[in-house]
Amino acid sequence: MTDDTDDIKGTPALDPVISDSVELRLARQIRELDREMMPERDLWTAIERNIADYPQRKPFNLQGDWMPYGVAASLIIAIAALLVNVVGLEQRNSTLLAADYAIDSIDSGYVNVRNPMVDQFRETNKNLDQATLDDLYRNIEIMAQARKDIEMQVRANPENTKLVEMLMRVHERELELLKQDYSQPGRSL
Amino acid sequence: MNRALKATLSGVLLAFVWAMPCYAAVDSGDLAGKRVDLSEAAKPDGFVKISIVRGDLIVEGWDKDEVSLVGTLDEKTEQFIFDVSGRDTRIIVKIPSNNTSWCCNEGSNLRIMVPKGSQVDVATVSTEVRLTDIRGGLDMSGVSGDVRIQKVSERLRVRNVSGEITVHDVDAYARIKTVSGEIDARSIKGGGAFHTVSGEIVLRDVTDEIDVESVSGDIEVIGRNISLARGHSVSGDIDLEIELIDDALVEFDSVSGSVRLRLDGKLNHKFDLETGSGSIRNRITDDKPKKSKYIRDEQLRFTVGEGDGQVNVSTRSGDISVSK
Repeated sequence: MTDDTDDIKGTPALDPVISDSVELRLARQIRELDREMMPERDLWTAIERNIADYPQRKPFNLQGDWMPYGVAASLIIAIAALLVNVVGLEQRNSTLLAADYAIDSIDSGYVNVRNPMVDQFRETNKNLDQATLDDLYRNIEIMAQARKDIEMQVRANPENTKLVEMLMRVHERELELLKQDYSQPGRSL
Repeated sequence: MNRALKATLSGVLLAFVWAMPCYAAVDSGDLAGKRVDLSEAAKPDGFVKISIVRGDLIVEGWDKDEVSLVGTLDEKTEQFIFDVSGRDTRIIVKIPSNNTSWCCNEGSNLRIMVPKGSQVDVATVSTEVRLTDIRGGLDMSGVSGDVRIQKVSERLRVRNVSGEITVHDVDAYARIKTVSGEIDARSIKGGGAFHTVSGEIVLRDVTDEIDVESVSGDIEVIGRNISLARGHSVSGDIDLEIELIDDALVEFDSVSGSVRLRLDGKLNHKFDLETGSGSIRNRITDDKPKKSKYIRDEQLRFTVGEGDGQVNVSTRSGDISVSK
């Protein structure tokens, strides 16, 4: 046997004849063993105590148990989605709509004051030289554009009170510019 | 009878002598385009009103109790007034209110000297103006001419539409407004408010309180001993290099412009920085900005020292940087 074993160790790919011979001999030795073997000491008491101390948990039954959790989870997700995406957006949208409405009202009121002043400005300053008039009109346009830019920002950021204050100041300055009689320097209308 | 006649004649002569300056000063057209050289005694702390539509104007304060005017009047002068009456002085060059008359010449070219302590009010349209050493306060309004001001005390108000405004050495709270003109102010000891729409604002060596505002122009401030610094812009950038006093309040906000704040000296302030979609860089402490998980905003709050003062900076989409 020793010789055979040495042969097996030294052979990378076992010869089928030798391999069969080893297996047969192992099988014979197993059959010759006693059918029952007693443990050297009684282990059963310890096994019973361990079973009592650590009872086995009921295994999770994926097929039968996921449904209630899934329904609850989907409800939570749905409510959260409703709160975040529907209620939140509605609040944001209603704020933006309110801001739009407010800005439209402010703008409309302002334009009602401004436009007659533009006509008055045109009439009052018609005798100014063309270069000065062009310069004034260019600056009136700059003010109007600034007003529109700020209005746009206020619509997008209605919570920003500083922007609203700035818009008011630009209104004030535009009117200040328009009410001047530049043909009579130092005298405002 | 003879005595009465003499007295009457003396009275008439005296009245004529008194009336002489007014006669010489109020002219309707004779002096158009001509050189003038006039002077009158004036109160050292009187009020001087000057109105020159176009051309070049220099106004300087001097130590004499006298108002002097030297230069050339506008070729289209319709009315010229040089009048000193009690505390009030009026210097006015009027041209016709007819735009064709404005064509093709350069306007007045005048140098006016006033007592240093006078309060001066200057109104122009397209006049290049230089004002120096006015210690009783200055008000100036114009449209397109550039304005250079130096050494002013008590009060400073400047309103211009498009001309550049340069101001040096002011010992008063300055209020300067323009639409598209640039504001360049240096050595402003009393602080001030500087507002423009599209022009830039450059402030150097300002102290005390500053209030700056621009819609699209950039703002640059270098200051010291600042107790209050406040500013707004829509799209312009804001650059600040300032030294704060202990309990100073700093508040700047912009929509899309960036705010860069460099603070010199000892800090003792609470910082509250916030941007909607920009980024925050903190080079003062190791505190890092808090970023929202689902939106791109960043916030950073930290305190240096006892936190007696406050620094608030916010932008919508611009970046924020704070450093020492």
